[in-house]
Amino acid sequence: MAASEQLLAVRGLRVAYVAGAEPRTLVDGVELDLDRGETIAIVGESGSGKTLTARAMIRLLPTGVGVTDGEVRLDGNDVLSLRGREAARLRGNRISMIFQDPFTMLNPVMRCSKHIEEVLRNRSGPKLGRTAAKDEARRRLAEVGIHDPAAADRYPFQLSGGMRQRVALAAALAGDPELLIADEPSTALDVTTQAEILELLKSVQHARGMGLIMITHDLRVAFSVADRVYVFYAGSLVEVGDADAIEREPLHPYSLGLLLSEPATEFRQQALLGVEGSVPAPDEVAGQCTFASRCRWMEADCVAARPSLVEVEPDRFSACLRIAEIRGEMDVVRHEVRSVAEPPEPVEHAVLPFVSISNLRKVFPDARTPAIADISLSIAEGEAVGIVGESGSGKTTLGRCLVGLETPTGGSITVGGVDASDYAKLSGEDRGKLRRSVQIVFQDPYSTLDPTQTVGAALREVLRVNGYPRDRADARVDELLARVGLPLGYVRRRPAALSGGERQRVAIARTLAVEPKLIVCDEPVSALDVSVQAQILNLFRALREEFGLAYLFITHDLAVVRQVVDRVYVLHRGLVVEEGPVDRVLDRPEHPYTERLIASIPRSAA
Amino acid sequence: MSAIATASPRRSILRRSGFHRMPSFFLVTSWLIVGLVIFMALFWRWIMPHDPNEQDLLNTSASPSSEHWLGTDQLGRDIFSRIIAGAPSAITGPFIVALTGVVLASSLGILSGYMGGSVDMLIQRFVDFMFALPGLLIAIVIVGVAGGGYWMAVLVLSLLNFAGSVRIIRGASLEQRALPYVEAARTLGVPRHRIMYFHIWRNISPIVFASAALDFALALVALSSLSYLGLGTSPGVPEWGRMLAENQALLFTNPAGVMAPGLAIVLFATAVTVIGDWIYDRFSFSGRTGR
Amino acid sequence: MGDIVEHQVPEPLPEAAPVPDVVGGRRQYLSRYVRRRLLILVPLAFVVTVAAFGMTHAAPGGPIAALLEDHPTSPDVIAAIKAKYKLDDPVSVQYWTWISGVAQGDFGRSIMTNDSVLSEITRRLDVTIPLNLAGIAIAVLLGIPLGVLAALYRGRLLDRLLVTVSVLFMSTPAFALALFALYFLGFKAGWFPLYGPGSWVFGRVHHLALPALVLGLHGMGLEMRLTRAAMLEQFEQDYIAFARARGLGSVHVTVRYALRNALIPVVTAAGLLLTGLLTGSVLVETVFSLPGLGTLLVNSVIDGDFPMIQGLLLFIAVWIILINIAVDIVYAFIDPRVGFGKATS
Repeated sequence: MAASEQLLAVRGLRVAYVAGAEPRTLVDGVELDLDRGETIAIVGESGSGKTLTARAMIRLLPTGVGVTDGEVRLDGNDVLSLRGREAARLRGNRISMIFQDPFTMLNPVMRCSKHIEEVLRNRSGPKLGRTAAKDEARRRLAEVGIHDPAAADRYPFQLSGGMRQRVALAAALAGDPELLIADEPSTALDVTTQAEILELLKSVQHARGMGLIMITHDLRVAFSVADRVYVFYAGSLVEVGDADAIEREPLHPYSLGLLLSEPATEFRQQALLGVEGSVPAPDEVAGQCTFASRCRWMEADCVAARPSLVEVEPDRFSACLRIAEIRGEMDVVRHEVRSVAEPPEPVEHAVLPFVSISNLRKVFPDARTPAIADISLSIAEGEAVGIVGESGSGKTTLGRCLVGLETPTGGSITVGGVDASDYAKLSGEDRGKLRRSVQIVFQDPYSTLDPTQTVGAALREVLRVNGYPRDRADARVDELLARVGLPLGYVRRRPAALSGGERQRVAIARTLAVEPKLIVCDEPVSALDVSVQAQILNLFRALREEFGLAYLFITHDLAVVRQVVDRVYVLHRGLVVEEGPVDRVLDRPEHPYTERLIASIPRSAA
Repeated sequence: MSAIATASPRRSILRRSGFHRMPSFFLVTSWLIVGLVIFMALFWRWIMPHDPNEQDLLNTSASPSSEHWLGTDQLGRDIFSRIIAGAPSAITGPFIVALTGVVLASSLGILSGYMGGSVDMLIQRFVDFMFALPGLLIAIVIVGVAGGGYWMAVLVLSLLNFAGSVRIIRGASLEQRALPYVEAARTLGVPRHRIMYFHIWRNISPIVFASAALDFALALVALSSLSYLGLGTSPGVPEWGRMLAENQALLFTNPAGVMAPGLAIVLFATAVTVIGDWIYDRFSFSGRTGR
Repeated sequence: MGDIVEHQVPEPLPEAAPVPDVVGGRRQYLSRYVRRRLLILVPLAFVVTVAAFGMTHAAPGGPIAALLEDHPTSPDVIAAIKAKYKLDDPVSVQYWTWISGVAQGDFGRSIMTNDSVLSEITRRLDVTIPLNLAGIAIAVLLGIPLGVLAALYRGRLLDRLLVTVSVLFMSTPAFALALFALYFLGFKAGWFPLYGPGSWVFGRVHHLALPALVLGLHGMGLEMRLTRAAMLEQFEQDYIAFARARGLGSVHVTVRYALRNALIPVVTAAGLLLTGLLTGSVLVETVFSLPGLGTLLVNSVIDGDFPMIQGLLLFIAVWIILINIAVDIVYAFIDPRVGFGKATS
């Protein structure tokens, strides 16, 4: 590790939403230290307060949100007391930050190199000439791996996501900061690009010897980049320690839960362990352990007072009161969950597969390249088939063609003996038959339900339009909710009152209402928090067992695909590059593209 | 017509006026004004102190007094009573224009946004053309040449002024159409008309009503402008815009004769606009579904 | 600092650039676009003129009623008039006669004054064009800065005040605003002459100042509100936060980032505003008794002077189309994405 000279110290930081009638706590009592040249990761799910903590350090809190207590010192100097202009001088020059979405981070009407030049000129004033700034910007772009001089003069919309993220990085570094905060810098990118950007961040950090704070929801990313890890939960810190130590043995039930709900990439797990429930608001859990309500080891003491961060081992801190007692039990749980399941039995292929797609082609109007160039695949009855690929691979289009949301340009789709190539040309009877045999679950749980309709009304509507007897509909709705693990009282709720995971359960119940044989799952868990992901994946596994459902499981996440499917197709630019049983493809990939995908999964530095 | 500049500026008129932040004073005042005008329109016969057409030729162009609160006009008619009696035409015409707008714009807008393809193209070209037309100017020409007065003006404005709303509603429907709940409804076999005129309609209705409120205010202003030019209501029927024209000669002797009907139009139109903004901010589901 | 230490940089893997860099693509796109738009002029002029023609002939009693007004009629007079204006020809032939005249620059003669329609319109432009230009200038020069100011003070007293002002101006009919201004600024304060266009340059400026101010304020409300909404939308953008995270000053961020991007919808609205001002100037000219296009239109409509109405409608249609084209060209200049497929979608 680099020289242990302290760069940043955060003490007792409290951040609250202060614009409303009564203040709402968002971050509570955060302590954080960073040495020069060190990389730390702040890990947490949505609502954990990780981004606001970082925004407070760089004095960029959104309007209405303010620091109510605590201090932030950079090199011993108080950061929070800086006034407007002084704070602006701190930003960019001493602390800089890049955000998650490369598509929205750059000014759409400004050429790429301008983003760098303006920072250079802002710092050096008019003595830096226009051409000198331009030349320097070129050098800065080269630092982040952009050597094509033409790229500097392009507008952001002319570049790919990965290139934009590089330009953004160069712009953030233009003021030569001592500390860079990277807020989910790779989350919006494809797996392979993600790996490049993380690599780039590491190498730039190392070369410049600057401090790096990596904010991420993904423990794998944290372990692969950071020296030390801070785990956030509901606005407070629950565990701090060296990255490899936490990976080896987490010392807080929440970190353990987070680690275990992350599906394994290397093998199929016996069971996926999700953390039941969802993240509470910080004020709901004030004066107690924030995780108590979801913790299986909870006791009266846990809710009596907020436990503070205690040094359990040298350089390892945990906010769990009972850590000494339960350490052994946690160890047992970890080994149980990590036990390997039997490889899935190959599903018997009937003479005719349930779904057969041959030479499918889809070209969108005005597109330069086809979304699907030539794809053939088959799904047997009751078989779970995975489709893996990055954005632009055609995986989503494939699923949409199968359920009739897109009409293929060429090739054929047959479902249960019915030609499903063009839904518009089918007779009403055939279309109804198809609709009842193939359904789809979408990625975004927040708009998958009509916000004006109650859960009950949504399910009854589906039953009604599919001819289910009216007098038995209410009973059927209750039954469907029970199947997906939701309380019956939810019939009267509107989507706004449900969490992301709950909405996704309703969406699954809605497809089950027509008793389909195949469900197309289009990234159904990727918008959910990790601890909730596992619950939904378990639900998919259970439903398959119960109803003999077949899945077409579309995902970019190799770990997810390993857990739920039997067979997998790897898609790249509209073509199938590899196909086979999931364990074979992921363990012994044959195609170089598959190898690259697997190599891009973040792994710990150790 | 405009292929590039189709980004609707009216959508952003509706967006975030800032009025939702100050519900107390402005909103309450606005509701009070609207309530008052509706009250006047319903009960004008009973509440006005004088017959609005009664001429008092011995007391013309009088300044405000306890007998005539706002004075009298050149024919000695009571201005206050004429303002009260003008309320029905301030509501009826704009209401018809706004209602036609809601019906035409939401059926066309949702159809265009949801169906896409050639239906969309056709409606779009039509709307582009309509949008470039200056409705009020055309109304001036038509009513002036063909006659028909107030009701002709209402008809012309109803048919010419809904293009802006179609654009807003089409844009909103286009956004809804791409959302998974609409696609799920499609794959689950929900009939197309129900998706369009039940699901999408319910989700965009705040936008429709806010846009209708804006249409109402614009129609009020347009109709009173026509009346001012002498092309609206027939003479004798009290109407605020016409009163400004009638009393313009009094501007320097009894300014109340001009100020009062002018303020009536301004306050009523402003109140309706504020309420429209409030509807948009308050009832948009889009604001509540996000995280 | 500033020196970049040599280090191994992972190269980006080759990937398809999403948008090719076509040299001259934009210029080509623009000229093609403008040509297409100018071509629309022809059918549109046809539609407008046919509509104008149809309307005047469909009016109760037709053009004859308008011509005769209240004069005592005799069959001789009617026959004479019909002969003079060739009203016995089929409507299509009449239309053809008129449109071929227009093509040669002859718009016919006014029924009321017997002046050439074209020269009357050109004469009136002396009032209407300065009035509209000054109006749009006032609307833009006041509306945009005030809109930016309101957005910067979002939710505070100044913002509420400005929003209220903008809604008030938007809901005030142009003629009412004109009368208010006439009373308060012209009569009470005595700053401006009350009626008429004035003569000679200085007098004209002085006389047109108040009408232009009224027209400008009438448009300012809309411009201000749009600017404020567009700025607020900008302030939520990621790139604004990222610009601030890089230490760029607040003036730089407000002008180069927020305003620069907010201008795109605001300019679009300015085209709409110009069309709106044309309508507004009809009313303002009437209030101030200015001999502009607006008063000409109102008088011709009331008098049933159909050659004049037809000429005016054609002129206004062309005016509106040219404004729309100009707006689209400006739009293409301030938004680099235009011409790369974004616009055509």
